[in-house]
Amino acid sequence: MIKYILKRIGYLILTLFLVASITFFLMKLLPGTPFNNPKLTHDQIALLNKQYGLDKPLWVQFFQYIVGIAHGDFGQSYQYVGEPVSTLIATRVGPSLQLGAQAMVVGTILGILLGAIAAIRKNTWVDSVATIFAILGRSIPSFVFAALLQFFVAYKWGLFPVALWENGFSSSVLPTIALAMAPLANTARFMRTEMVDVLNSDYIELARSKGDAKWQAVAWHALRNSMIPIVTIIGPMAVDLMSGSMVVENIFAIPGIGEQFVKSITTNDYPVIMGLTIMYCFMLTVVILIVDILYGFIDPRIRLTGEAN
Amino acid sequence: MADAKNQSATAMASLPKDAFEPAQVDKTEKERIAAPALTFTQDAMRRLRQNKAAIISFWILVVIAVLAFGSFFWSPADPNHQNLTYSYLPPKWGNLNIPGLNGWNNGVDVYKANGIKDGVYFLLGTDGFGRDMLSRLLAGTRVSLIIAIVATFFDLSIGVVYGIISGWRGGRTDIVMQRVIEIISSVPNLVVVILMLLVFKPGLTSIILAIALSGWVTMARLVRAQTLQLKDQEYVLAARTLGESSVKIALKHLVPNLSSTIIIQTMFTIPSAIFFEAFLSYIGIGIPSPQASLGTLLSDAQQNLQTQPYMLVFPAIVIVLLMLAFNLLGDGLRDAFDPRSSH
Repeated sequence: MIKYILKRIGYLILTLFLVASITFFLMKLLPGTPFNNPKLTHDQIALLNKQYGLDKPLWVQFFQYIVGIAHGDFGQSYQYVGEPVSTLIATRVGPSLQLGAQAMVVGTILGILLGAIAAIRKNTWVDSVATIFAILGRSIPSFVFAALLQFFVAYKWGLFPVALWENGFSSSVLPTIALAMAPLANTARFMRTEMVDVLNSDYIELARSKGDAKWQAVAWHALRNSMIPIVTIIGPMAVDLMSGSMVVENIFAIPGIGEQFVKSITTNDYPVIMGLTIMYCFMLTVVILIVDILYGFIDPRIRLTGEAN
Repeated sequence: MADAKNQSATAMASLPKDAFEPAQVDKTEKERIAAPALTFTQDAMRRLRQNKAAIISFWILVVIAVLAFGSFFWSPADPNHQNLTYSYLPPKWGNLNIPGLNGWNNGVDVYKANGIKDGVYFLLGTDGFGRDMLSRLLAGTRVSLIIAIVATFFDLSIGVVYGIISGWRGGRTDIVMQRVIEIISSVPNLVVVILMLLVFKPGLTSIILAIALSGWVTMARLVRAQTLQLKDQEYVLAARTLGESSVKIALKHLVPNLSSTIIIQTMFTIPSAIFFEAFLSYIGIGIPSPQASLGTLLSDAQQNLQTQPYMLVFPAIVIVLLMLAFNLLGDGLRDAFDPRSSH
C-alpha cells in the first residue's frame, strides 16, 4: 500500500511538472506583452521586463519558474504590482475551499437521501419527483441557477446578502446552494441506481427473512453498501465544483480563486493564470489520489489500478 | 394410498388400447418465427419509442432546431439592428393582458411611457440597444447549437480515433496514450478550454476548437475500453486471419459495434458543449460582442437582472430546455441500447 501511494505521489509530481511546463510555454506563445500600454516608453518597458525576468532567454525563465514553483513561488502578478501570485492565491483560497466543502457535503448528503428515498419508493410518484429533481439539477447551468437565486432569494425577498463575502456564514448560503445542485443531482442519480441493485440482493432478503423490519434492513445493510460506490464519483464532482466556482463566485462577487481566475483572464494576468491552473490541477489530483486510497480501504475487493501493473 | 393406486390401475385397464394415439407434432410449426426478426438497432428503437420522456425531448429538440436554423431564412427582425427609441421594452403580445407579456415592467406600461406607436410590440421585448430579443434569441440559439454540434463532432472524431488506436495497438503505445489522457484529465476541462482560448484569436472557430480539443478524453476512454473487448472477438480474429488491414477492421468491425456508445456519448457531449460556450461568452471570452449566443444573452441579462428581469427568463428557458432534452434523450438512448443498465 505504501509503495502504491508513493508511486501515485510520484505520478502526481510528474503530472504537475508537465502541466506547469505546458502552461508556461502556452503563455509564452501568446501574442502581445502584458506591458502594451502606449504611455510606456521603451526604457520603461525594458525596465519592467527586467523586473519580471522577461529579458532572460526562454530556457532560463522556464528553469527559474519551475524552481520557483518547487519553493511555492509562482512569480509576481502583472495586475497587482509587486503582489506575489502565491500570496494572492493564499488569501483567496479560503472562501473557495469553504464554499466547495459546504457544497460537497450538502450536495452528497441530500443526494444520498434523495436517491435512497427514490429507490425505496421505486416506481411511485416519490421516485418520479426525485428523478425530475435530479435531472433538473443536472440540466440547469450553475450560472443561470445562481442568477435566479440572487434575483429572487436575495434581491426580491431579502433573505440573504445579494453578494460579497462580508456577512460570514449567511454570505455563503446562496453560493453554496447554487454549487451544491450538481453534486446533489449526480449523487441522487448514482445512489438510486446502486440502492435499487442492493435492495434486490440476497443479503437484504436474508435480513428481511430473519425478521428485520424493512427500515432496519434499509438502514443497516442497504444504505451502507450503496454508499460505498459514491466515493468514486467524488473526483468528477470536484471538477464540477471547480468549474462551477468560477461562475458562482463571479456572480456573487466572492473573493475566491474562481473569481480571481476569471478576472486574470480578462486582464491578461499570465502569472496568476498559470499559478491558478497549477493550483487547480494540484487540488484535483490530490482529491483523486485521496479518493483512490480511501476506496482501497473501504472496499478491499477493489484492486487499485496501477497495483496490477 | 395403496387403494387409490389400485383404482387407477383398473381404470387404465378398462380403457381400450386404441383410445390412445400419438399427437401430431408439426415440425415446421415448431420452428416458425411468429414475429419478424428485429435487428439490434430496430430493437433499440422499439425500446426508445416506449420512453415517453425521450420522445418528447426529441421533438422539443426538433422544434428548437427548426426555429433556430429557420431564423437563418426568416426572422422577425435583424438580430443586430439597433434602434435606441425601442430601448429596454418588455415583452408585449399585441393586446393580450397577461402579466409579464403585456408591456409592463416594474409597475409601468413602458410602451406608453416611451410613447411607442400602437401597432409596435416585441414578443420577447428588446435589449438596451433596442434589438429584438426574439430574433436575438433565435440567432443566439443557432450559434450555440452550431458550436455545440460541430465541437462535438470533432471531439468525438478525436476521441474515437484515439481510443481505437490505443485499444487496438495495446502494449507500449497504449500505456503512453493512457498516461497522456491521465495528465490531460487532471486539469479541469474548463481550465483547458480557457487556456486555449487565450492562445487562439477569439471567435466562433476558436471556441469550437477549444471545446473539441479538451472534451475528447471521456470518449477516448470509453472507446478504448470497448475496443479492448471487441479485439478478442472471433470475427475480428477471422478478419485478421484473412489478412484485412487494421484500418479496414477498425472501419468495418469496430466502429459499427462502437456506434451505440458513440451515439449515447454524443448526446451527453452536446449539452456540455452548450454549457461551455454559454459559460465562456458569459465571462466575456467567448463570442465577440455584437453577435448573439445563449451565453452573451445570459450575460447581458445578468447585468440588467434587477431592472429588466424579463431579459433573463427566455434565454434561461431555452438553455435549460436544451440541456434537459439532450440529457433525457441521452438517458433514453442509453437505456434503449443497453437495457441492462436501466432499472
